[in-house]
Amino acid sequence: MPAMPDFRFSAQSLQDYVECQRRFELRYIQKLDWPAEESSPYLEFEQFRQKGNLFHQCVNQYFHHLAPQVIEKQIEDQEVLCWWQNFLAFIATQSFTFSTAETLFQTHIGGYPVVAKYDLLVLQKDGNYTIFDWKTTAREQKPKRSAFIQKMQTIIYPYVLSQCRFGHPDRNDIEPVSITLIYWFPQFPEQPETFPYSTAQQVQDEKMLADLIHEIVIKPTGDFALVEDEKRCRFCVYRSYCGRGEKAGSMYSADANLDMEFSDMDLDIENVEEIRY
Amino acid sequence: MNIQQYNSLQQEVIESEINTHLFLEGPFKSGKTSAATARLKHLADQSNPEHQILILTPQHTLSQAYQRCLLESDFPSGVIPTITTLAGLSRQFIRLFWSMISENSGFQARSASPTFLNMESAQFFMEQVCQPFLAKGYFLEVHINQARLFSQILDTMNKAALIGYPLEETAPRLTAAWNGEAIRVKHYQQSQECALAFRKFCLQNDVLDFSLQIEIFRNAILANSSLRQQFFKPYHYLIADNIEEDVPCLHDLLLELSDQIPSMLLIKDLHAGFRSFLGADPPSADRLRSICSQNFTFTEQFRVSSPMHAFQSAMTHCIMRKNSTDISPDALQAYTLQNVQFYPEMINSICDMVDHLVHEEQVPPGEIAILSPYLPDSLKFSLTTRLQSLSIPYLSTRPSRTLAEESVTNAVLVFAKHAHPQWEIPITSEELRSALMVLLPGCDIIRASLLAQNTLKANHHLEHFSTIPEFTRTRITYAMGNQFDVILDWIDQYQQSTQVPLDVFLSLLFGEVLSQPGFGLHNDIDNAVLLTRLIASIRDFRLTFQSLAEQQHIDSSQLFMETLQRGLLPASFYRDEPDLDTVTIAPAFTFLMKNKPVRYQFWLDIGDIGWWERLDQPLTHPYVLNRNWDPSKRWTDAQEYQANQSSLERLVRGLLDRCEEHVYLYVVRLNQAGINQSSPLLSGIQLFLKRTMGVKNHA
Repeated sequence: MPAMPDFRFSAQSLQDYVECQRRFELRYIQKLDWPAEESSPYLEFEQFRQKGNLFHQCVNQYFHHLAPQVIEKQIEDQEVLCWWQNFLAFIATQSFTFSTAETLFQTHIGGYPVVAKYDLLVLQKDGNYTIFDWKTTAREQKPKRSAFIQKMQTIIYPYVLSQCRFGHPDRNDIEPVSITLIYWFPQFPEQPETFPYSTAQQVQDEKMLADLIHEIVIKPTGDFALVEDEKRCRFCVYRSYCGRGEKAGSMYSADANLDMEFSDMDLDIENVEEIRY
Repeated sequence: MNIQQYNSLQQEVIESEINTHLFLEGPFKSGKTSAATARLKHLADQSNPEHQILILTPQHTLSQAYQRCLLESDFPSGVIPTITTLAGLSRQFIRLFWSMISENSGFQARSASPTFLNMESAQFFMEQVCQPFLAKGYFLEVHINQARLFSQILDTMNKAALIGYPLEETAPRLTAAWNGEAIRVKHYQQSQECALAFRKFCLQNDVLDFSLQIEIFRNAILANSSLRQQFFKPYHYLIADNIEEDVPCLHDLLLELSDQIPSMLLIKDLHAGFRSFLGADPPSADRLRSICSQNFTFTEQFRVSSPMHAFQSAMTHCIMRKNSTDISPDALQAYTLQNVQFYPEMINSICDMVDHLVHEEQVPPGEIAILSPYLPDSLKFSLTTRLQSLSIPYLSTRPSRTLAEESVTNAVLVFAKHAHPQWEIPITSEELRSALMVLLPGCDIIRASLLAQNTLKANHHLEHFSTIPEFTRTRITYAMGNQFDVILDWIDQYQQSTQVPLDVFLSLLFGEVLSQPGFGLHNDIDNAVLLTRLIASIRDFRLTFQSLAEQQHIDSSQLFMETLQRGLLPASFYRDEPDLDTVTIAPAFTFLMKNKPVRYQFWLDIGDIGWWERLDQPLTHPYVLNRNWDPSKRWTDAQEYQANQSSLERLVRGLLDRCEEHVYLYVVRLNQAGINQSSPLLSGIQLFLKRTMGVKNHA
């Protein structure tokens, strides 16, 4: 990988790498814009993303202390309204002393920056931290737990938090055992997926991440291999660039593993908007 | 962080008490931002989710030092500081509190979320709003094109918001200062009427142009302290850099926040304020001293060559006609003055010199900048073609580029028109020919003409290649013709299914056909970038105009195409240019805002009056629509002259501050129109030459 002084590793970029090294190379090293569709039906896919964004926006407003009834006024879509009501019922059962929503955190592994964007991070009275990630899905069934176990997000999110000191440079890092990651599904509010963290897990994750990042940074350009399983290519915008087909796959198919929240993250890091006139 | 690498004054700034307000000023390259980034690391050590860091800069390019600092391996783990601008802050605020503020701000459509307009979509709506006024004969005597007319009306609105006076005061302010023909006063009134009508339209439809965005943010933040506290609650530390390039509205905000944010570092560049035409206000920035308990002034400039410093000092004196007798002989080594007769000679001479520097002196291309007051297409084309032939990488940086001018845009839109005959938008033989040359590999102009002439039928319909007489097909070649038929077959199939918006159509056409092997866009990275921007621009347009198009029973894709055809929707796009090792070709002010020094600069045609004179703006005025303007005064020619002189002096100082070794100055006897020319920059050089005659002789 060539020297890229402005590059940050993230759950998304590492996920891309483990799924298809070539996609990682095209997207993050070559920064190749390729305007093909990611998934079909195109307009439904767009609408689904919009719904997911609206839900995230409402939750963010909630944690900025806007009254729920004021937030609710902006929701016209019945499905999002249902998600929102599920959220209100769920959050009423939670207690915490501090919360921060839609916040970016960063640490370094082997000298390389790694970022994580938490939909919600809360500190409980007992000193434990919980990272919440809201997951919306286009399919009628909740994704299986096994789909999350190997996800880079499940590894990176708690790890990044475990490296933070929060204003106490002399104090030890946050105890891994005090961290929990919860994937919460607005469509399936009673079935969250919980991932407690531990010191052993942290040690294992740190080694895995360091090895993976090292593997990427020493890999020469051109050695980033295409994924063997071509099924994944149906949901990749680069499929025509790589000669892996013409049409995008359906967002409703069982192979679709699209995460609606990821693509905005790189933009969020540089939250700068110009005075353009 | 090794504190020893900083001088004592920098160390003092870095290690000052955390919870205090500091004001830091100094010239370019005096180490202000280096001290600030070191202090940033110190602050990051103390920060946590409840005590975060906010970094404000006037524009993205000015935040790069901070962006780089966050990536350094010794940057503490934790919450990433928020780096943003006034525009970014205001958008974030409005998105977050929209449901609370929309009603009180006069919005009537009760949309779930606000719709922000960019310059292009604002111009589109402005055109809609202005049509009845234009039909009544408004602006009849103003000889500028409509796009510029609308952008100037929008500029007056932006100035009102950024400076902080009611929109209704614009015409009275401009009128009171006007000193010329009475007709101008009528235009000021007309412009204000249009601005107020546009504002009303925005409020009725829940859309926000930049001025409304700023006005709502400013009013909400200033009037509602609880909202202000809520929004800025996470921030305990604030760094604002280049505050002299920022606007009074931002300075007002910082003054308001001084009680709420305990730690502030406010940084001002001396001798700057380059963005004054955008509302930058250095005197307004000086008000911020009052909230700072400690003031620091850096004077020592690092890595400044003595000849360049001497040349800068002598030149600025000459421009301002200040007496200066002690010009250092060093100044003569800093520049080369080249006289040429015609423009092409200058282009050739510059490119030859760049070639010499890059290929013989081994100067990295990124250390060279070619600068002019503006960068017209013809100049850009001449320079880039020549540099390309010399294998010298370059990056032409302009504030905006027009997608509508790109050949790939025309190429894909030709087939979009064919796919949507209900739009009734004609396809010309010429545009079809150009499209074929882009989309069919190896298709030369002869074959493209033949194919276009034989397949373009009445009613803008395209016939298949297979319908052409065999003799002509052979001339075109079957390989090429069959590819053409593949495109038409795909479109036939598309027409039989449910039609989709234009952006989706183009995305499908690209992904399923044009980027496949055997087509011109297969693995064509440059055109893929342009198409990505075009598709994003059309998608933005669709999402913004959806309700309007529905109200008017128009297809938003058709609306986009018609607007594009009228030249009112340039579909400009802005992008952050990557920091590559390439020669920079840019307008001088754009280069200044990159804030990146180079070793060599080339100043084009210093006799061009554009180096000195501001753009003709009959409906707005950067100095009158300004907080520092005395409303009882009139704007005179003498003031215009003085303002231009000061602006030129700042520009020359700024450019030479960012030149580390040598500047090449080009004088062209006859400009592109064949006219002899002169400018105060050229006069300044001439005076400098006169003053250095003795120095030269002595040397």
